[in-house]
Amino acid sequence: MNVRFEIRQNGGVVILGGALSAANVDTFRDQMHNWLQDNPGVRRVVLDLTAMDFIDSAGLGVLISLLKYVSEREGDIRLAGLQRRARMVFEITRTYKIFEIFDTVDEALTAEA
Amino acid sequence: MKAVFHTDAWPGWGAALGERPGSLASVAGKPFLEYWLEWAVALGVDEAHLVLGDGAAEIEAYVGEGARWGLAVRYGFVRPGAPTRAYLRRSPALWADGLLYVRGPVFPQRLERSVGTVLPAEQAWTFRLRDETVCFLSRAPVRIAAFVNDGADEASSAWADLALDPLYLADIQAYYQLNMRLVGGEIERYVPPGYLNREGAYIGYNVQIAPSAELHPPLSIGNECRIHPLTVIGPRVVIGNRVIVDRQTELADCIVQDGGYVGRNLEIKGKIVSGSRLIEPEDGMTLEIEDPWLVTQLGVRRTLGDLGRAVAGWLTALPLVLVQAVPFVVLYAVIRLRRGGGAYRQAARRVRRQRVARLPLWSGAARPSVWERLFHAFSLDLFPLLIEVLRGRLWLCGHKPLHPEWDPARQQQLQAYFPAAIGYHTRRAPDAPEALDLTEALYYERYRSLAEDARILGRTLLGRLMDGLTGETPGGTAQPN
Repeated sequence: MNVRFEIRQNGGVVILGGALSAANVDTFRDQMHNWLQDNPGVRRVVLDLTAMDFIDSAGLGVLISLLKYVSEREGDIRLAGLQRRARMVFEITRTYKIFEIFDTVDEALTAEA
Repeated sequence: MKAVFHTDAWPGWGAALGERPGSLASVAGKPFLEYWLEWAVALGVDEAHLVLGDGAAEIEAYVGEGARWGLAVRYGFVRPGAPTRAYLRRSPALWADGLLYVRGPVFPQRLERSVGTVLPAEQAWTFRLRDETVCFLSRAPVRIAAFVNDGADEASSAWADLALDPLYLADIQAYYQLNMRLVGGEIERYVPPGYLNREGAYIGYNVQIAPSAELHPPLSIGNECRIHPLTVIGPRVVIGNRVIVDRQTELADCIVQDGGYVGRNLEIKGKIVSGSRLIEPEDGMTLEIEDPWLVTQLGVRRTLGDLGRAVAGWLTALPLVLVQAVPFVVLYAVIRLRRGGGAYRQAARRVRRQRVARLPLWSGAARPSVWERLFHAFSLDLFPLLIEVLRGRLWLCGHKPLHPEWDPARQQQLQAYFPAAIGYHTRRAPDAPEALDLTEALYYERYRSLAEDARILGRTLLGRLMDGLTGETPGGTAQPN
């Protein structure tokens, strides 16, 4: 799994590549917590999942826990660029009802809450 | 009249559905090849030849000798790369009085409920796919001979005259759409699946549907399925045999193949579920789900865990036998000397590796004596079966050994069979309904594990001991019936 963090005008963008699965969710959670603590001003976080080719239930679990964490800090997490296979997992587990999902990062950054 | 069905010429979408041969893929609740066999029966075919390819053993196990359809079924193979009609040319005289030939996934789509069963002489019906004839039907010897020998005369009469419109399922989308059309109402034109049809809901036998589950027809649910509470099934859902749909899950416009488990709180719409695979019907895109609590194939394969259970079972049976040996000899001698008590009888049962063996099964007396109560409380009646565990004929914990003649149906319903000395049945009341056997067998097949074995063992040995101490009537015999 590759993770890259960027700060843009309307929020932070986390670019995820590869697989988000039970094998690496702990690492990803730690990276996210560290980055959010280093950037307390970031309220809107967009996860760019264009390059994410696989996600399992552990991956979904960590995204939900991060959403809770960010929401408690009065922020929100949006998803962008979800690929078809990953989208299928979001659909069957009903996780798509929890997240706001956009086609592109720009849309996710600029859309009204 | 004879029929020849080629199951060896299935296109790629069959493989996308999993390891089962494509001809056994469920079409509105019935395997595809049943529609062929039913068509053959309607035409008066007396002998059907199935030309096998991948999954031959599975097809043969399913169809058997064809008695279920009143057909004599023969099996054959052709060499890979052999000419298309190589099988027919082996014995051309065999087909002279009429031939129905189908190669690959040609679905005999009916236009009406009754199809043409009397074929006018001299006519032939052919269905071509590009340069190949994939379906041929005629009673005219000349036309048949020409077809078998690749003759040029393959002009077809109108299929509509027979109220048929053969449909070649070239891809997964065609397969999905056919299922949706059939379950949507066209299934009425065929022998319907299941035994219950209520307002478009075809339900198979031994299906348990929780009262809080919502069914929205049209839908079809195969045999041996479990529909858990708060599920919403339908509309346009085809569920195969032996499927479990767990709590709060919603299914619509989808197909769930045989033996599938659909986990809790899921929402599956417009998909095909085949084992642990989700398939998008539009373009055949597949997604392998690695989390077995989402979707998975129910315990078909033997796993490493089974090897562990076998070793652990044997190692547990050994001290049990050593501990029980002396008390068994003493108490059994006392019971026999007093006469009128329980006794062992040799009964034929299926044991490991599908062999039939005579097992010593304990039959308790109607009014057990104190000695017999003790015998039961210390589970000494199980001693001879524990010896069978050490001999490798039985598992320590698992399924109730099946009778080779009385239980073939139950045997078919189990995809993995673990005949054992001790099972859920061992501490059951004598008047418990027999239907429990199947439920428990399916449960064990799905949830077998070392922990489950330990639970069964503890519940049986300690439970019987407690029953003995509290004066409860012995809960049945080691092996009822």
